[in-house]
Amino acid sequence: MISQKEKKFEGIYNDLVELIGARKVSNKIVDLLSYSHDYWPITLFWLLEGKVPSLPDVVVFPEKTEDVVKVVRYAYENDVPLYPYGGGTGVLGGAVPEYGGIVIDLKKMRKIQIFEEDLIVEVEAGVNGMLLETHLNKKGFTLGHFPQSLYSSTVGGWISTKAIGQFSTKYGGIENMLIGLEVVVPPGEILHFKPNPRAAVGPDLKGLFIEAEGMLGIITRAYLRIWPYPEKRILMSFISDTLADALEAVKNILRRGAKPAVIRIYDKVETRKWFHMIKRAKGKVGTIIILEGDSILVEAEKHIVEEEFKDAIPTGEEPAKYWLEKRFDVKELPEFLPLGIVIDTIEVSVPWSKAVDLYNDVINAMRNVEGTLIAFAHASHFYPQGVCFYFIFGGIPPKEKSPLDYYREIWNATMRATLRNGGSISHHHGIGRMRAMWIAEDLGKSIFTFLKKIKSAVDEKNIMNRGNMGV
Amino acid sequence: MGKIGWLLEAIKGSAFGTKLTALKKFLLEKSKVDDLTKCALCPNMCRFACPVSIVDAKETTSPAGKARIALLLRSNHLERNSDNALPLYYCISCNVCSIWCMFGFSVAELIRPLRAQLFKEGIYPDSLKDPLENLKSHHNPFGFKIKNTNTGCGDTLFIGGCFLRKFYPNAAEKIKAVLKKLGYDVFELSEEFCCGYLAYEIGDEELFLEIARNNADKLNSTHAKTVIMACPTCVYVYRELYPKYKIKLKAKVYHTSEVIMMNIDKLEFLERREIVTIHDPSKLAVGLDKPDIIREILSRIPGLMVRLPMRYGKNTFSCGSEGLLLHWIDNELEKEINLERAKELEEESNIIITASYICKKGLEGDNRRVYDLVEYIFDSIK
Repeated sequence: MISQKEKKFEGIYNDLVELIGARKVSNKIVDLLSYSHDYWPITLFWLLEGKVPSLPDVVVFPEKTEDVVKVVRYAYENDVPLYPYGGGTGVLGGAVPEYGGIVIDLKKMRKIQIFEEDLIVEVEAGVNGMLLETHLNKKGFTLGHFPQSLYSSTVGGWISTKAIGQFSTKYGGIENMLIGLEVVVPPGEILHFKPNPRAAVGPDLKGLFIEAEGMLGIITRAYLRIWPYPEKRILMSFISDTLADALEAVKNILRRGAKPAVIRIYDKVETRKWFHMIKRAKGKVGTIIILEGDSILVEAEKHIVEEEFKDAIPTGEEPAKYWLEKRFDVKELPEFLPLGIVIDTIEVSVPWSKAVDLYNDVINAMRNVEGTLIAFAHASHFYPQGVCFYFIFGGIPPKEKSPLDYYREIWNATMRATLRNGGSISHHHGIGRMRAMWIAEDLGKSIFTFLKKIKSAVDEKNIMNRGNMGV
Repeated sequence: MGKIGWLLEAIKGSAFGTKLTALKKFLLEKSKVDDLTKCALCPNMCRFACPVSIVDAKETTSPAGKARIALLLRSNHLERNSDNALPLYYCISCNVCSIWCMFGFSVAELIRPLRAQLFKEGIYPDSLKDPLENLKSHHNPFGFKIKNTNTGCGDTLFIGGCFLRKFYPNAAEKIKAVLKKLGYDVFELSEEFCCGYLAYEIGDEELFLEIARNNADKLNSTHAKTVIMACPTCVYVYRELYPKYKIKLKAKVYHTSEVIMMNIDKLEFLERREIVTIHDPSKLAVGLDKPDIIREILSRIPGLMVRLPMRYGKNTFSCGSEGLLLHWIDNELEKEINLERAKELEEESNIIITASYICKKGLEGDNRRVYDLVEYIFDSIK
C-alpha cells in the first residue's frame, strides 16, 4: 500500500504553511502521490502496479512570484530539493522528485495580458497551453505553438523543456517565440529579462533557462511573440516512392524560402495509418503539408510545394484533414500499456546529409531488440539544415526481462544509433532522468563539464531539480 | 487498408513469438482494460476544459489525477479513507471533459461507481453529511420545507426546484407569467421534493432511488401531461437519470428554455438596445444537448446584441456551482470558479444571461447584472 514511509525533510510542511499560507501547501498522501511522476511511460507502468517512483515531502501551489521567492529562499536556506511542476506531460521523468523535498506546482499562476500593437503576450508560467491559444484566438491572434500536449501542458513547461509544436516549420519552437522572461533563482532572487524585439546586451542569459528543466531556476513569467490569426489555410498531401524522395522535396522547399506551417513525412509503415483512405499509398511514403498565413504568401508557397513535389502523386486534402482531426489523440498508451505492451516515442534531430542513414539505422536497432513489436517513424520538424525524426516503438518484454530492462535496452539501442549517425539525442522532449546517461556523450565532455559549472555557480547547494540530467 | 489494418501490417516484421503474444493479448485482454484505467493513463487531454482543474490547478484534482486516485483506491494500493477519497468529489459533473476526450469519457461517470462503493463503506466527505441528512429529513439539501399555494391540477405542472425556492422565492411568479403567455396554465405541487441529484453525486444510490421513485409516483398521480422545470439539473435528472434506473414518468419533462423555444412565436418582444453575453449551464448545453438554445431565443429580441464569451455551447465553462458538491466540500474553490467565469463573461458585457438559478447565483456580483433567461424574457415581452 502506498504511504509515506519516511519523511526525508522533517518540519518543512509547518514552515511552508507559515511562509505562504495553509491553502498553498499540502502534505496529504494523495497530493504527494499525484506529484510523484510525470508522463514518463515507465512510471505509468509502475502506477498500474501501485508503485511510485519517489514521493516528495510537500507540494506547494504558489499564486504569485513572491510566493516562489519565499519557497526558493526557504529551500536554499534549508538544503531542501525543489522540483518545478507544470502540466506533468514530460515523458522523460524530468519532474520526478527523486530526492524528496518540495514540488512547486506553478499552475495557479495563470494571468495573461496581450499587447496587441507589439504582438507580445505576457503570460505567467502556469498558463495552460490551450487556454492561452483560445484566449489569443478570441482576440484575433495565434501563438502558433501546438505541441501534442497543448491541452494539458503549461507555458513554463514549454520553456523548461524547449518544446516545439506541430506548426513549427513556420512559427518555430518555443525558443523562437520567447523574447522576455522572469525566473526565480537561488537563493531567492528574481531575474527579469524584459521583452525586446532583439537585444545585444551581453550574452543571452535568458537562453540558459530554455531546456534547463528547472535545474537553474523557476520560470514564473514569459513574454512570447504572437501573430495575427492566419487569413488562409491550404491543405495538401503527396505520396512519394521513397523516404529520400520526400525528404529531398522538403529540403528544396525550405531552401527556396517557403515556410509551410506543417510538414509531416511518414515512413511506409506509418503512411498506412495516416493515408488509410488513399489506396495507392500502400508501400509509399506519405507527406502532409499545411500552409497558412497571408493569402498571397500562402498561394506562392503552394506553388513552390507543387513544383518540388512534381515527381510525387498529389493526394488531396483528406490525409491532412484526417491528421488535423486526430492529431491530439494519444490513445495508444492508455490502450496498450495495461496489456503489458511497453510503448514510447523518441525524437532526435540530424542534418540532411545523414537523415536517411540515421532513420534506417535507428529502425533496425529498435527492431533488433528482442521483444520489439513495432518500430516506425515520421519526420515532423524541418530546418534548412536538417530534420527531426520521431520514432515510435512498442514491444512485449521477453519472459526473462522486466519491462524496465526492455525499455532501457531499446532506448540504448536508439541513442547509440543516433549518436553514431551524427544526430542529436533529443529534438524537443529534453533529457529528464531517462536520457541522463547519454547527455555527456552528445554534448561532449568539455561542454558537459561547462554545464555542471554553470549549474553549481547558479545553484551552489544543488537544490534545483536535484539529480535531473545527471548533472 | 483500414484504420486498424495498418497496425497488423506494422507488426509483420517482428518475431513470431512476440507477434503471437501480442495478438493473444490484443484479442483476449484488450476488452478487459476498463475505462477508468484508460483515463488514468491519459496525459490529461481534457484538463483545459475542466473548471475544477484549471482553477484548483492541482494534479490531484485534474481529470486524470482523479482517475489515478480512483484506480489506486479501487485496487487497494491506496488506503480507503475519506481523506484519500476527497479528490473524487472535486467534480462539477459538467461533463465537458467528455466533449474533448478521445474516448468520449465523462470523468464523473467513471468515478461514480467507486463513490457508490465507498459510500457503502461509510466513506464520503464529512462536509456532505449535513446536506445528505437534510435531504432525508426535509427532502432537499438546504433543510427547509417547500410549500406552494398555487396547487391544484391540470395538464401542466411547474416545478421550481429547491434552489429557486430557497434563494429566489419570488422568481416563480415571473416564470409562471411567461409560461402563461406561452399558453401554459400551470399548477404546482403542494410540497416539492428535491430531484435527488445530490444523493446521486455522493454515491448514495439507495437514497437516490427512493427519492426518484417517490418523485415519479407523485408526478404520475397528478395526471399532468407536461412538466416544466426551472432548473436544468432537475430536468437532466428526471429525463436522463430516472430512465436509466427504470423509473418511468407519464408526463414529458421540459426545461423552461425548451418550452420558450417551442412556442417562441407566441411572444411579442420589445426592442432592447443593449449588449449582453450568455452563460450556458453545462447541464443544459451538454447534459440536455441544448448548446445553442439561449442564443437562439435571444436572437429573437429586436435590437439585442449577444456577444459570445470565449467558452460557450458544449465548450462552456461551468460557473462552479452546478452539481452543488463544491458548495459543501470547498466553498472557497466554488467562489474562485464563480469569479473566474464571471470575469470571462464581463469581458463581453456586464449583463449576463443564463438559464439556471444556480448559475445566476454563482455569477452574481457587484458590477454584474445576471438574469435567468425567463426573467430576461419577462422584461422583454409586451
